[in-house]
Amino acid sequence: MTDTRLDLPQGTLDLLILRTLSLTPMHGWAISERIQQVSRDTLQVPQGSLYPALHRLERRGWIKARWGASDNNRKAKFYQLTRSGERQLANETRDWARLSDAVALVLRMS
Amino acid sequence: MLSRVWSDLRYRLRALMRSRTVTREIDAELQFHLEQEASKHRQAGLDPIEAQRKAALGLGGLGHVREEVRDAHGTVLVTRLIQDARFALRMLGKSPTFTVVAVLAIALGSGAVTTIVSAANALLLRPIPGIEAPDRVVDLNRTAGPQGREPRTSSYPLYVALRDQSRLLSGIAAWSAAQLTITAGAQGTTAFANLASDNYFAVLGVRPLLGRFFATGDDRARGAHAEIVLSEGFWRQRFGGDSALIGKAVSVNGSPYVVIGVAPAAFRGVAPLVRTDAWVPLGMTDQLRPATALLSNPRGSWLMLVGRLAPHATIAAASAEAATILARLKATSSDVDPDAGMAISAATGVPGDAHGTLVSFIALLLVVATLVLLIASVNVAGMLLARATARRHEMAIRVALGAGRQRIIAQLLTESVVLFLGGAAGGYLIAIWSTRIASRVPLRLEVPVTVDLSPDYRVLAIALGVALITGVAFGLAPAFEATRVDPSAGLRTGTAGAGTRRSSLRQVLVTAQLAVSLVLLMSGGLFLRALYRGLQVPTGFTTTGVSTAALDVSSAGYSDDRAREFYDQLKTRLLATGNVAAVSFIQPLPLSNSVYSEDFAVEGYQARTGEHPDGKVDLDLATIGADYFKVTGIPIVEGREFGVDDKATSPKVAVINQTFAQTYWPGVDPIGRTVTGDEGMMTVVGVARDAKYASLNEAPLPFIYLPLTQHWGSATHLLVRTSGQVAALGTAIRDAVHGIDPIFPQPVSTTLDAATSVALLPQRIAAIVTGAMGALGFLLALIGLYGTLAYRVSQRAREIGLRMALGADRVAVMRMVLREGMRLVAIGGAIGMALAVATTRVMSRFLFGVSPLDPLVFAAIPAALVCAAFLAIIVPARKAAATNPLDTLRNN
Repeated sequence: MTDTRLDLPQGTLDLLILRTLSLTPMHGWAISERIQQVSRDTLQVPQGSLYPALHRLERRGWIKARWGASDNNRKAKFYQLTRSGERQLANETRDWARLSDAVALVLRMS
Repeated sequence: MLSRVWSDLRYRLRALMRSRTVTREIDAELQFHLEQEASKHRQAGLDPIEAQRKAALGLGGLGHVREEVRDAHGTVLVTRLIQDARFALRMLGKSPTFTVVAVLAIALGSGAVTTIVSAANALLLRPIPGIEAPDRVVDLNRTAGPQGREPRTSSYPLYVALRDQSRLLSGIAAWSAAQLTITAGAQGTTAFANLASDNYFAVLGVRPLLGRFFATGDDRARGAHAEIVLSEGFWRQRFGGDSALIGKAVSVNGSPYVVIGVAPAAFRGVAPLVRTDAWVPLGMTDQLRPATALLSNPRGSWLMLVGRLAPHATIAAASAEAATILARLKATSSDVDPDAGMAISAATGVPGDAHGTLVSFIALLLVVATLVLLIASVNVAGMLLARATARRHEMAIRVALGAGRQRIIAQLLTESVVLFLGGAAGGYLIAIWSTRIASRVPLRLEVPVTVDLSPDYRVLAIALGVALITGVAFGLAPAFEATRVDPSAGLRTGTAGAGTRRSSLRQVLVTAQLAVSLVLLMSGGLFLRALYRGLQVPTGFTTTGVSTAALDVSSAGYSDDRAREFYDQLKTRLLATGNVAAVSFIQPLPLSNSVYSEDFAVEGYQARTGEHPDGKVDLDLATIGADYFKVTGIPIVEGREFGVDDKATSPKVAVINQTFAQTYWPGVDPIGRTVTGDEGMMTVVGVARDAKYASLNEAPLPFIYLPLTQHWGSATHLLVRTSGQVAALGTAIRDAVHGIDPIFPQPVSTTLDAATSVALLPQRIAAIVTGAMGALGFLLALIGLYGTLAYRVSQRAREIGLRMALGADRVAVMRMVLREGMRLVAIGGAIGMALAVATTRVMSRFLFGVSPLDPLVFAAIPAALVCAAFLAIIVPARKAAATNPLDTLRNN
C-alpha cells in the first residue's frame, strides 16, 4: 500500500485544501480524509503540515474558521472558503493546469 | 489588496494579543483530530492504546505541530522579541553593577543630546502655539540686498503693497513691539505690547477668549480706534481676570483705550519667546509714537510681517510673487531700496535676525553633545566586550545545546538595546531637569524673555530612536565577538585564549574616545579663551560704576516738551543725590546688538559705486544727552562734546568718531564740516575716540553721535555714573522718577556691566556647555582607558606572572603596562589634535578673533590630557607590578 502513495509536491497542499473546502465547510481531519479518499489513496496528506497550512490560509483571508459540532456531536473547528479564497482557488487551478500541461508536453517530447 | 493586508494584520494581532486563547484553540483542534484518527484506527480493528499511538505518530509530535501552527500565525518575530527582552532584563539583573554603570554612562551622553534636542525643539521646531494651522504660516523678512546683510523689518507702505497685491498669501499681518504704560488706578504698569495690523488675529486664526478683536479697516482710520486687546496672563495678573473689564477704558500712555477683548491663554504672540501683554491697532502708531511718522515713511524699518499661504500655494511660489511685487514697486517709486528683497520662510517663532545665529549655535552644541554620547556609547561597547569574554563559557554551552548563532546575536543585541533604552529614559529625565535649570537662568535682557525648553513627546521619540540605533550599532561588535566561539574549546578552557583580537578592538575604541574627548576639551578651551578675550576686548568706554535704566517717555504719554522737562528734572534730581558724578542718556544702549542707522550726505564725499545711488552713505548712529562722554569715559580727541547749550532750537551739531574722520575726510580737519541727514544739515563739533557700538566683534566702523535734544526719540537709556556703590543707584533712580511723576512706570535699573554682558551670552553658554561636556567626555574616556588596561592586566596575569618568575622585576612590568597605556594616549591624542585642527574652524564666528588653532589651547589641553591619562594608567600598572608570580602560576 505504501508504495502506491505519493508525497505532495511543494505548494500543492494549499491548492488541495482550497479545492476540498470549495465543496463544503469541513474540519481538518475531514479534509485530510477527503483528499486521501478522492485521490483513491494515492495522495497522503502529511498531517503535520495540514494544520500549519490551514492557519496560514486563514491568516491570508482565503478561508475562515468557526467552531461547530461534528457528526459525532463533538466541538470541532470548521473551515470554509471565503470570497477571496474562491478567487485564489480559480487562479491556482488555472496555474496548476498550465504547469501540468507544460510538464506533460516536455515529458512527451521525443 | 488593502482588505487582505487588514485581515492579515487583524489575524496576527489577535494571535498576539490573545495568545493564550489561541493556544487553547490550537490544542482543542489537534486533540479533536487525534480522537478522530484514533477512532478510525479502532474501527479498523486496532486496540485502543495502539490506535492512540498510531494517531499521534501520524501527526508527528504534538509539540512540533503546535510550534509550526504558531509560526504560521506570523507572530514569531514579536513573541521572540518579547522573550528576548525578558531574557535580557533577567541577564542584566544578574549583574547589577555592570547594568547600573552602563545605563548611567548612556544616560549622561543621552541626557546631553536630549537637552540640546529639547532646546532645538523648543526654539526652532515647535510651531507657534495657539494659532490655526501653524504649518501654513510664513515669516516675510525684508533683506537688504546681495551684500548679505541680516534680515530687516519692513515699512508700512511696503507692507500695504504686499498685503494688497499678494494672491498666494491669503493674508499678511504686520506687527511691531511697543512698550506701553497701562494705568488703572494709582500706579502705571509697563506692558510689553504689539502694535498689530487690523487683520493680525484673523490671519493667525486666533479666536478671542472674551470680547472681540480688531475690526477690518482699523489700520486705515488713523487714530480713530483707541482699543486694546489683553493677553490672558496680563488680564489675570493685572486685572484679576475681571470679565467686566471688556468695554471699559484703561489709560494707555495717558489716553483712554477701550479694552475690547482678551486673547486665549494658548496664544502668546508671533514671537512666543518674548512675553506679549497686549495688542493695540497699528492705526494708533502716530499716537503711541508721536513725531515718528512711521506709518507714512516708505523707508521705515520697523514692522515684522507674517503671512498665511493660500490653499495649494507653496513658499517658493509666494517668494517669486513677492519678488515680482517688489520689482514693480521699485520701477514706480524711488522710495524702495533697489537692493531690497523679500525672504519668505516657514514661521518659527524666532524673529528673522536671530534665527540664523540660533540655528548655527544649536547645531554646534548638538555636535558637541553627540560626541559625548558617542564616547559614552563606546564606553558601554567596551564594557559589553569585556562581558562578552566573561560570558564565553555561557555562550559555548548555549551553542552546544543547539542555539543558532543568529539567535544568540539577536539576544545579545536585545540586551544592548535594552541598556540603551534604559539610558535614554535616564537621559530624558536629565533633560527635563537640565532644561528646567536652563529656563531659570536669568537673562538680563530688556524685554521679558520666557523660554520653555522642556522636552516633549517629539524629543522623547527622537531620544528613543537614537537609543535603538546606538544600541544596535554599539552592541553589534560585542555580540559578534561573544558568539565567535568554538563550543568545545569554550567548554574545555573556560576563560583563556582568543583575547588579543577582542582587546585590540577595545584599544581602538579607547583611542577613539580619547581623540573625541580631546576635541571636546579643546573646543571648551577655545570658548573659554573667547569668553576671556571678549571680556578683555577694549570696548572704548568704562562700564564700571555706571548704572543704567530704560526709560520710555512716549509710553508714559508724554509730549515732547513734557519729556524734555522730565529728562532735565531727572538729571537735576540725580545729580543732587550724593555720590552721583555724572548723568546722561543714550539710545540705543551700547553692546546690546541693536543698531540705529540713517542715510547721510557727507560734505565733499562722493559715494563709490555699489553704495547708495543718491550719493548718501548708511551710517550707524546713537542719540545722546549732554555729558555722555563724561559718563562713559570716551575721550574727545578733538573739538567738544554736546552741552546744555545744544538745544532743540540752536544750530544742529554732531560728534563723529575717529574712523568716520579717517574714512570720509582723510587729512582734513573735520571740525566745522557738515553731514546732512533726514532732519537737515549738522555741523561736526567734535571727534570721539573709537569704541565698540553694537557688538564686541564688530570691526571699527564710522559712527555718528547726535544730540538727543535735536533728534527726538521716544525711548532712551539713562546712564548714571557714581563714585560710590552702583547697587545703591537703583533706589535713587526709582525715588527720583517717583518724585517727578508718581504714575510713571518704575524703571528697572541694572549696572552697565550687566547690561552689556549680554553681548557675551553665546560665548558664556558655549563655554559652559562645551566645557562641561568636554569634562564629562574626558572622564568617560579615562574610565574607558582604565577599564581597558585593568582588563588587559587581569587577562595577562599568567604571562606577567611567568615573566616575573623568569626574572623580570616590578619596574619592568610596570613600564610594560605604562608603555602600552601611553601608546594609546599618544595615538588618541594625535588623532584628536588632527581632528581639532580640522574642525575648530567652524566655531570661529563665536571666537572673537581667538584663532581656532590657539597655541595656548593646543598646548595646555593635550598636556593636561596626558597628565590625567597617566593617573588612569598608573593604577593598573601598579596592580600588574604587584602580581605574585606564584599565585598566578598556581591558579592557571
